[in-house]
Amino acid sequence: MAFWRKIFDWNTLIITALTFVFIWMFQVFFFSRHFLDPFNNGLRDYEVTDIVYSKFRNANSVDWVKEIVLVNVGQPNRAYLAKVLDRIGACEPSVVGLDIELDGRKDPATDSLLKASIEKIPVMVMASRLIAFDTAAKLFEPPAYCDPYFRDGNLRAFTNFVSEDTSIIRLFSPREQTKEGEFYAFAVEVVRQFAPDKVDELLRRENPVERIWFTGRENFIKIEGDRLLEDLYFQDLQKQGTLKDKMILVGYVGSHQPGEPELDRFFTPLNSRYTGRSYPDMYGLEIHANIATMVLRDKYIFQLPKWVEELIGWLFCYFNVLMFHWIYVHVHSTFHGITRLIQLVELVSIFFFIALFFYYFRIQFNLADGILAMLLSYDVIMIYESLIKKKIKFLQKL
Amino acid sequence: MKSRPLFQAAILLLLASTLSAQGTQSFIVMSVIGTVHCVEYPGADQSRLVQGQALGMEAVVSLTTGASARLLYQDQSITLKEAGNYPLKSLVANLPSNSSSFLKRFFNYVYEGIVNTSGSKQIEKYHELYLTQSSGGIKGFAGADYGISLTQPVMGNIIPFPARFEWFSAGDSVLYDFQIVDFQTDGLIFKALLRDTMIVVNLEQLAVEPGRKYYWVVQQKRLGEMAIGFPLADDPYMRSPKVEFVISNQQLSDLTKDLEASEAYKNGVEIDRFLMMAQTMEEANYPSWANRILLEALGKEPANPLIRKVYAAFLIRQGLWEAAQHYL
Repeated sequence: MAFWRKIFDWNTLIITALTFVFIWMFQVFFFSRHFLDPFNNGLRDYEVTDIVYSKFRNANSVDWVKEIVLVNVGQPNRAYLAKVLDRIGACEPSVVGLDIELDGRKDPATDSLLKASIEKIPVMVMASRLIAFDTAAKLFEPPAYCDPYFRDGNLRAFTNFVSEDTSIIRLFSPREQTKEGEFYAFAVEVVRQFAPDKVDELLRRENPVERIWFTGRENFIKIEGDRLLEDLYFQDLQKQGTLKDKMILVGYVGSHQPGEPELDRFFTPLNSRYTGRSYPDMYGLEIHANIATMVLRDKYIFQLPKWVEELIGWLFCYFNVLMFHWIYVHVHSTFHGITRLIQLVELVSIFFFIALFFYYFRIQFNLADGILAMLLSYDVIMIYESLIKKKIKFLQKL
Repeated sequence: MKSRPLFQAAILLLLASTLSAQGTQSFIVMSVIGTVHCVEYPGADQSRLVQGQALGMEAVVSLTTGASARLLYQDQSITLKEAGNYPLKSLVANLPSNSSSFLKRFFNYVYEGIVNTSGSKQIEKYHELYLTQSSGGIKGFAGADYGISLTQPVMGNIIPFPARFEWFSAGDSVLYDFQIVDFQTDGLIFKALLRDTMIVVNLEQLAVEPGRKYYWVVQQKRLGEMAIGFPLADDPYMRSPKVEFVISNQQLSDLTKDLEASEAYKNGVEIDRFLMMAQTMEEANYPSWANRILLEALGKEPANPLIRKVYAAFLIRQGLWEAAQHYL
């Protein structure tokens, strides 16, 4: 009983509530205003865990994903693509994911050549795109940009990521319902053909969107399409068995050199500059490869439910207020110095634990409100004690 | 009594894991651009490098100009971009430690955040430090493309005497990786890691053949930098141009006999003779010999404006603009 009396205090509870009211007002009246846009745009698209990716990850460490091979075909014409697919097919891959949209028909001769090349590959997943959502039916329109002539008998999957136009790619949707039925994300469909049990595990999580666990862009063997067309090289590659029984992702993957066209390039949390302006750091195909790796290796990111985060935030703020209030009452002369020092230590410690949990256990939680409350609590205690409490007699009796 | 078999099993397990770990001490080829060859062990035939190939420590990878390869060793990625031969054993020896822990990276980050308070005020205060970091305009346009400029035109036809290779300093505490490379095969002929900005090499002692083309290049290195001697990226701002030269077996007297027989040469004063000889050498594509003659003339009359201008113009024609400025 004595313990509860020690940790429960009405003043502390009121100050905690006031702090969260301040935060709420702050968010409503300031963060949504346009004059803060530069600040917003710079920091809104930022998460603390981005620092973990960009600064705490061992960037020199490469974890080779043996199951996946990337083939860069640049921006190919259909005749060239047909030749490359012929060569890939001859290497007996397990599944081929073609991240090139084959929209409409072009030259009948090359189209039929390409179709013949596609048909030679036993399991082919073709890229398409979700472009419209029917809000009344709550279904997507059928995926576009894959001509029926080519998709005949092949699997289609959508290449969309869940993001605003120029934002950081963090999320993907494993599957979506369309008017033509259920479709999987490109990487998910490719893995489904390669290791269906892994995708079953992903789907069992029943998350409408999943956070991508990025492992890097250098973890995959990468082959240039041009080289595949060189006979001697191709023979050596076949002899080596590099593509045999593998998951082959075909698309545009540049070499990340300056001056390359910014085609199918995105920002990811791996970007060395985690805030503000920088260059897109990953090609779409590399992101698909990262998603496929994550599913293959069961490396999912776990997020605490919102209510748990809120609860931790409130508790965190409450105990800080309890401590600061005690200091205010009992060691009033040094209140300012001690409180600021504690806040600083707590800030670094929280940052450390958030980073630690994400890095080692892939557990992500958002303590932004709790941290903001901790920082504001000093001022709210001052306002409460020197203004509010003096005006309201009832509070003086607590 | 029961603990003994358990202990033995643990030892066996440890031994097996150690052996299997040793078995993975190989390089995996992750990507190849252009033509890259390898010799898997001494005495083996040269073969084409392909992705997915595993290479042992004894292998040597050879890159031609414009080619690149990315290899994976244990969990470290190594990109080879510059033409040359790369013995994998040496690459391993030069690999930096990859063992920094999460804790260390975290505290480094926090520490740097405290120490490097790089804000706009900091930039304003120490603008000299930041001024060279970015610039408008097109890099290298109508100016020097290379981080190291040469002072001596050791190029064109070269007579295999001791040759003096010299370049401008690229800053304090910089080391220079000097190399002479076979132009046709990119095979390394001579290599030295220097503190000085000059080296005299007796070409007669090297395994060079008359009539064959070679090039020399100087690469900047800093103390403690990864892979000394094995540049992993070709950055022109970190090196000199690749200066091509051919070993000549022609006698100098053959080149100069017509000149020496001419009336103008016979009747000219000493300085005129020097200039005429230098011109003849330059026209025969012996710029290093012409350079030697012009320097000799300058040594005799250092303040002579004519010789200084002729020498400056000569250096400019060889592409050594920075060196020429000293004589203008």
